[in-house]
Amino acid sequence: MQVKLIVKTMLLGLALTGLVACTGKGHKKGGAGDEQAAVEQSVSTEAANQTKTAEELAAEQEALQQADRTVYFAYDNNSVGGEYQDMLATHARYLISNPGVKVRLEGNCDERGTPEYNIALGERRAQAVARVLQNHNVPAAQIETVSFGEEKPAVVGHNESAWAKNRRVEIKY
Amino acid sequence: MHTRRLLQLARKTCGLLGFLLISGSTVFAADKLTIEITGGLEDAIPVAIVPFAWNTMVGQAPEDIAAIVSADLARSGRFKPIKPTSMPQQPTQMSEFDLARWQAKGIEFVAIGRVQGAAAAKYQVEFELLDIWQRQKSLGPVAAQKSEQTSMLLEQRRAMIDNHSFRSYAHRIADIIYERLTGERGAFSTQIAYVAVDRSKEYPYELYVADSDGFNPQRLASSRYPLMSPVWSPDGSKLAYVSFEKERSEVIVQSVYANQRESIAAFSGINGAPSWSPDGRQLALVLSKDGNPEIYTVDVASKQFTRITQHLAIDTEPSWHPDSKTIYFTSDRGGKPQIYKVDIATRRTERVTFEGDYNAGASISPDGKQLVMVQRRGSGFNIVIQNLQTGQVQVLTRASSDQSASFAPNGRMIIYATVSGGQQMLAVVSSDGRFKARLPSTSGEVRAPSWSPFLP
Repeated sequence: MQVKLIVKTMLLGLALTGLVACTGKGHKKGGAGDEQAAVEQSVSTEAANQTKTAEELAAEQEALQQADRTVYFAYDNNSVGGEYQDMLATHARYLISNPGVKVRLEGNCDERGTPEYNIALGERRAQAVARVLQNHNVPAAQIETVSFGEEKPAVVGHNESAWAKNRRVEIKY
Repeated sequence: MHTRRLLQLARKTCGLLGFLLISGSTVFAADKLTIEITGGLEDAIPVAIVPFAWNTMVGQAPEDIAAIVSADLARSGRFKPIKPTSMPQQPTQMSEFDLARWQAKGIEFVAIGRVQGAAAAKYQVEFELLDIWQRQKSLGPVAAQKSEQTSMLLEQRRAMIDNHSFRSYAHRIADIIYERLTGERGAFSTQIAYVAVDRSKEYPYELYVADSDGFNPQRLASSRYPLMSPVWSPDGSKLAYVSFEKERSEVIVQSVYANQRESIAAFSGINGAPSWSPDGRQLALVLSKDGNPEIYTVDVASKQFTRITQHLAIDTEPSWHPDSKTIYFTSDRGGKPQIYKVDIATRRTERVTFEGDYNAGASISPDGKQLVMVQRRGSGFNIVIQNLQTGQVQVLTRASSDQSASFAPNGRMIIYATVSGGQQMLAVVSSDGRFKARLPSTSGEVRAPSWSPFLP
């Protein structure tokens, strides 16, 4: 949240000094009009790397390091819980700031059921996380999904405790 | 016989040359699968396979033929072979045979035999199968010793084998005895493929083929990343399987006896669940490159793909019916996974399973009359068998995490993966559910079994 605000302010400042070429109509100072937001967005995509300070990039890296890399799922379920939204937003910001970076989402299931159907379920889970990232404006080209089904458990065990830890999507860079 | 020996030699040679294309290693694992019978010998026929005589001047028998035959017959669930220590006598030829002592023991059939050294490194094996109660032939008055022997005699065979063929000929003897006494073809001279996982290894996932009794495991592939779903081609010469060696899925076809391996499907998304057509020219498989998992067929030679299903739901686990016209598969288009069938020509699709809220992993029997699959029940995930004509379902297993069922080529036995005592292992169950055995490995997890066809 903090980072976004700093970026927005900086961009406004730059726009006012005329250093950035604008594709849209003139902007209004302050406010949160749709047109202005759209212009900010397009400017952001083009100029992000040039306008980020070293501190901002470092802050994003730090946030990413701290962020969790695993989304867990309920049995027979592929919806991403609300508790993961902030974490995924952090990943999304990092990816948007680093268009050359690809993220790999690995979907997994617990061992129950058939191995190949579980490959398909794992893919659904990975795709669900991908959609969250895309909703945060991460381009699809930066996201790769793979499903390992039940073949790569995080915990080898045949009880609910192990199964819960295996129903997951792992976020890998 | 000659062909099989050539194939065996080829297999051993290829193994030594090392066709472990992923790891580059040439070391074979020596882990064997052992057999633990866990249920259902009440109706089994009591038989005795008497230890064969070893009539050579030199050395010891490389294998105990009688023991291998006994183990095979026991594993079929149809027979109850007695131990040599329980036998009233151990004759090795007809003249030594004392009928009354065997009848007193309640044994119904006895096999006796002899191994004799012939030319250099060649052995002559002879055996007889005797019907103690002469039920197989009409009962005549008890006459002279000779005619009594003749009326008891069901089989009498002689063969020339070499040093390396003791196990395979023992399996042949078991097939002969099984066929003579049940009228069905024996499946003892067959093989199984399976995946072994040892997470302490650098390449934890390994694909093996072994004799159907678990002996002679030969490693065909090893990988840092998962290997799945091996299936035998109808002529027994190739395996199709799923490999994640490139950190994403692809469908591979690999020769069992030659150093050949090719990637058939490596699209983005899922490439999985291969199933051979009855003529061995095509594979049905699952691709999700178009957005969600769909069934495709591919001509293995031309690599031409044909899309079979068109539905937003998950469609997976195709299994080709022996009539070549129908593919059975799993779909959750109704909300939960159930088995459907599709007519390849018309694409007309029909639901096949109506019991329970989870039916998946269908495998059609060799005669096309039944399918075996995984069903979720109160006890967990079990193997069940469904009659395709009547729709009647019978539960075959009762553990909690059973999967990957595969028919023996005579349709009589089903091999599958189970968790027993906290260990992932293989197990067999007879198609009527009466006989069960576990096949625990000496180390690691074993999964994804596939039974070979009858081998040439």
